[in-house]
Amino acid sequence: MKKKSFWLISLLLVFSMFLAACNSGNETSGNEKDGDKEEANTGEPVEGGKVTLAVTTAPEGVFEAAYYRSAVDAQILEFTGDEIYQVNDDLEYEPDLATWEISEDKLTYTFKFKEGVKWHNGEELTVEDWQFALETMADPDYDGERFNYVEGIKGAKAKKDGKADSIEGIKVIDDYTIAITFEEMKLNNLENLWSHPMPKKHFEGIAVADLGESEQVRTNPVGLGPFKVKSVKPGEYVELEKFADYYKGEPKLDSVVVKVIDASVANGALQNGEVDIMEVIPNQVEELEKMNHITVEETTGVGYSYIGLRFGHRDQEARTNKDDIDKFKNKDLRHALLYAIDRQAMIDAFLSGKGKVFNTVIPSTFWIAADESELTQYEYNPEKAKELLAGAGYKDVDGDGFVEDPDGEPFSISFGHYAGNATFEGRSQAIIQSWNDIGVKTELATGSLIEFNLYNDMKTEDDEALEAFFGSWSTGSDPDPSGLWANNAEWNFGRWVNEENDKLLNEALSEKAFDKDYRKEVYVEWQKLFNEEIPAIPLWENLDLYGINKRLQGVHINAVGFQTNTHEWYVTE
Amino acid sequence: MLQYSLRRILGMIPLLFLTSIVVFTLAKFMPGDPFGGEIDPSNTNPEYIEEMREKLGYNDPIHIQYIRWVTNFVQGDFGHSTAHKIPVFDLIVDRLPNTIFLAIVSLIITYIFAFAMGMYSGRRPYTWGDNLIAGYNYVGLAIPSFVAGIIAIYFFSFQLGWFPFAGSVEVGLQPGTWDYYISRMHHVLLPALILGLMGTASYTQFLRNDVIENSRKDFVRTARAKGTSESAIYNKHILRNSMIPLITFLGFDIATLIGGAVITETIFTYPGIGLLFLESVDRRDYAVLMTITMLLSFLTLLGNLIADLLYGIVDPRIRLG
Amino acid sequence: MVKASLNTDGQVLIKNKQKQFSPWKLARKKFLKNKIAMTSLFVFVSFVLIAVFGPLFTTHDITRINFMSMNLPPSAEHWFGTDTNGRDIFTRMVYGARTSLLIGLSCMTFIIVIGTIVGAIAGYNGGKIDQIFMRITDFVLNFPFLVFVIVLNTILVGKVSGVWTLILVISLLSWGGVARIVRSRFLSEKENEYVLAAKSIGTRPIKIIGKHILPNVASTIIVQATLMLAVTIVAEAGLSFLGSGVPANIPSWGNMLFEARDSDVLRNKTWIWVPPAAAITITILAINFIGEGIKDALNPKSRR
Repeated sequence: MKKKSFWLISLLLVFSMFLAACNSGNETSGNEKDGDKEEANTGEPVEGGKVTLAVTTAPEGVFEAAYYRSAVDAQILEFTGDEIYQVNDDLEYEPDLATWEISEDKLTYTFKFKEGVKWHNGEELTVEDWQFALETMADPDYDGERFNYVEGIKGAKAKKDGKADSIEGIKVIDDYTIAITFEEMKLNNLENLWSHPMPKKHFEGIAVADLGESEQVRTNPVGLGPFKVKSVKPGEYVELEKFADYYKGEPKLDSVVVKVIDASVANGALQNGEVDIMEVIPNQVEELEKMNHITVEETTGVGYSYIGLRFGHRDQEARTNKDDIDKFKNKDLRHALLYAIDRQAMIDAFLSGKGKVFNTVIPSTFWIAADESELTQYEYNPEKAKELLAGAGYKDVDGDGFVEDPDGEPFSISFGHYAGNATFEGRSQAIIQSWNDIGVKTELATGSLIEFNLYNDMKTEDDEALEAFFGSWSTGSDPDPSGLWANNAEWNFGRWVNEENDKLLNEALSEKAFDKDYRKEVYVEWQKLFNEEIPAIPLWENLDLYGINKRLQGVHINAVGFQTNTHEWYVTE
Repeated sequence: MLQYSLRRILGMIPLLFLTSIVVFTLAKFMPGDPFGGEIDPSNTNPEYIEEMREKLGYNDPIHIQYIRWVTNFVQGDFGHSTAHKIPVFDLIVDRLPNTIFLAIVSLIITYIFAFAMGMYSGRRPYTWGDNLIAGYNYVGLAIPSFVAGIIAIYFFSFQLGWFPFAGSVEVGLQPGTWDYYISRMHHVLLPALILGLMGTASYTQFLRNDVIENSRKDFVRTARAKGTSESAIYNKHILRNSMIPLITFLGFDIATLIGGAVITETIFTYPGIGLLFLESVDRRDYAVLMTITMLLSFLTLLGNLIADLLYGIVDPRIRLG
Repeated sequence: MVKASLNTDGQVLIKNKQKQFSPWKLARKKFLKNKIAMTSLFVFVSFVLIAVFGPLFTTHDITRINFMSMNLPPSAEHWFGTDTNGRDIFTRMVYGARTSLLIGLSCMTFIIVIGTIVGAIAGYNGGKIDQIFMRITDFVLNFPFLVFVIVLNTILVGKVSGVWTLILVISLLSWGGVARIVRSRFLSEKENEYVLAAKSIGTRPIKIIGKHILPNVASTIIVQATLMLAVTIVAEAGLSFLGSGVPANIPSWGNMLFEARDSDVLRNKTWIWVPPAAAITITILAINFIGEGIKDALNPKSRR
């Protein structure tokens, strides 16, 4: 008898633990909802206050814009820094620390800085601070990765190669005026110009080679932004306090804590009020939306997902792409592959509906985005996909249920996807089964989801296993897609080469394109080309999602982020 | 004894050398380097990647890279973290105390519970209580620590509010103050409980079986015959004897605890060596990866050595072997 | 705490049974009378049978994503409900049992075989052989388990078929503990009179090890074996959490449990993760009680 009761008890013990977990969730949300109603009534701003921003990866602790590598460090820099220009809600560039004029020949930009702007250490911002930043980044000893932001300035390459002591194209006129001359006329010279001044006095006496690792960058950074770094606990948190002399006005909050948490407890921390704001992933949304004191803000972002199709290889020496693989050369085949996928169903299933089907690779938030009415929509239609295949000569000759290519040879696709999030397995399987369903035999490349770093290397090295591959890009605020899709672009991973493609992309950066309407017209043409050719299968553009506690107010969210106006954030309790 | 110890310590050197070759080879076999991986198209250009590879010597022949690494390593230069841009040594010095603290607290918890349970079970084997303890221990083994960790956070941190759910210390406290140490303790407790309570199985089982075995031995019979009370027999004679083999466990545990807390540290965002290791795998931060692996190997060797020496003291037969 | 190891006691015992008839018969009798152990054996054997034959009878597709039936709670159609990909959890549990038990049993077998052989040879012979074998063991023990599993998995993934990568890596890294423990037991056992007596009449070492010493250290090995089986089944789950376990597209209990990382699943969709969690727990409890039962049965001094 004793033995039996023991069995029961040990089982009970197990299940009570499980139940404890379930109950705790439900009860807590109930309590929070009650407490929240009172809260909502008193929405008055309160002086000061502390806000906690959660991140799920640790900062690397490199708090200087020219050196940082991680996205989390970038978020902290958004609090502590300000730029020459800012990007508005329509992703257009606007003056911020400085205004500018463009010369007749469009080669020289003259910047006029605001006066009275203070660094965190009390020094006043002058153009020398910006000059210092540009000179540092062109220095041969500079070991950050952003030389490309000063590359376009006349003489920057010469300095980098050690042939000059300073950049020829920079001319300081007075403390608040500076002229920058570019090597060649390009429409997006400004967008590609480094916009963060560096605190010259603060960095005085440090050799360029040591700058990235210096105390002044890592533990005691000085910026221009509304908040300054108070303390850093590596791997754990960064404490920021307000900078009262911020030139746009004293921040309303006293402090912001950027805290590292594990993704699996993120919702609990938001629910519990221990975290006030964080960028969330679609999986979290369903649960968050049930919490009354949490708002989930969403906005169309600059990120998108696609399926790359391999057309060839890259010649790394010559830095050119060659389309020497014929597998996907048939346009009807590519169209069929797109028609086969129920993209809306996938968005609903794997992104909690937080995504938007699109048919080019320009997210709709960009001002150059073509109107959907001008594009073919490729709505889910497996029957049409089969017709297209048959029409193009892809028929099931040997009766195995899968089509053979027009020459009667077996045809199959090896599709690759990377590992990570729990939804990736379902997502890759959904794509594979969609293609199998229309009779195109598809297998998972390497037999398993591929470790993320390895996957990226395989893409870069044109690994043969990745005939088709899942890809995502976050493009930044510059609308020009050349870096990702131009014929010889390194990151045109499908190695798609098309004469018209380069012609249009170059035209959009030509002198004529200084006329915004014309530029848009050219980009719309390019999108139509992409939409017709489908050199890669566009899936969806992602929505950026933020979970915010209602006690935190005044957060402005746009496609580039949520930190454009941190000095105006306030709390209501 | 001294001679034996010295011989063992010298014996560590070739092992460490072999380990370094294995660690280095594995690191080289790992796909990618810190400059591959995720690409931020607006911030990186291919020329930069190539330039850095050349600069950091990734293009040199393998044996040259190995010799360079070992030479520096022996001199205490563990290289530079590519992600954090500081010497690996500083990074590890920053994280190691957290992990050691967590390890010690969880070890104490394990010992206290395992001793209590092991002694109880050993004294009253095959009873209801013994089975319950065995059941508990195996449930503890069976529940993956990430599930236990997440449940504990939702229950104890969010529901009851007893413990913090992340980090090693409250934001803004200054090291050296009383509050700081209290906060450290408060933060370490929940992860340590998870680690400690889930890890009692092997100790309890061992102690239980050893106690049962010892209780049948001659010296116990003698003690009984002399009229020593049962509790004195168990608490003095048997416990002392059963503790001896347990001491050797301690040696093994040093490295296991430091390297094995990866999952717990991740869930609790507790900035220790395990979490640093995982981050470094993701970031392909090889200097950090290799140093941590070497460090853990070294600690294991050291632990084994300590275990052997302790064992040698209590059981001279081993020394002769 | 992977300091234990496993053993193929089962096999050793059966072999010996034919030779030493009566003590083994006695042990079997004792075991059959032990209700907990028998219940556990029944549970464990059913799990194994389900794992082996279950897939022949299941009707649901375990890979196909079904957009229409995602996150459904348990019902007559789906006994355990469906997961976030719309797949039947019961069916996946059956296939998952295959993977998880395969990993646990294979690793256990490898670890115990290697560990016992190495430990027995080293402990029995002592001297130089002991030195050499123990240095090799040290070398293996010296690698931090989790760290090396992660690194090795990153290297091997895609090169060796998914599940076997894990089995190889775990086995190769885990036998050291068993070897050490077996060795130390051999060291003390071989000083006993019965071994000395066997030696003096010229019994072959292999016979002394197999026939005389091994049965005497069997209980130690069984404790290690049960621990190791438990540890490897759980290790699979833990490694899935770290992304270094079985490839995500192969159902295993660990991979199914991985979904609990999502707090919405953990708190509101418990049917998705409770079955694998319960399966792991029950399996391990059963293994433990079988182990205890065998140990008791083999122990002539045991009270029952």
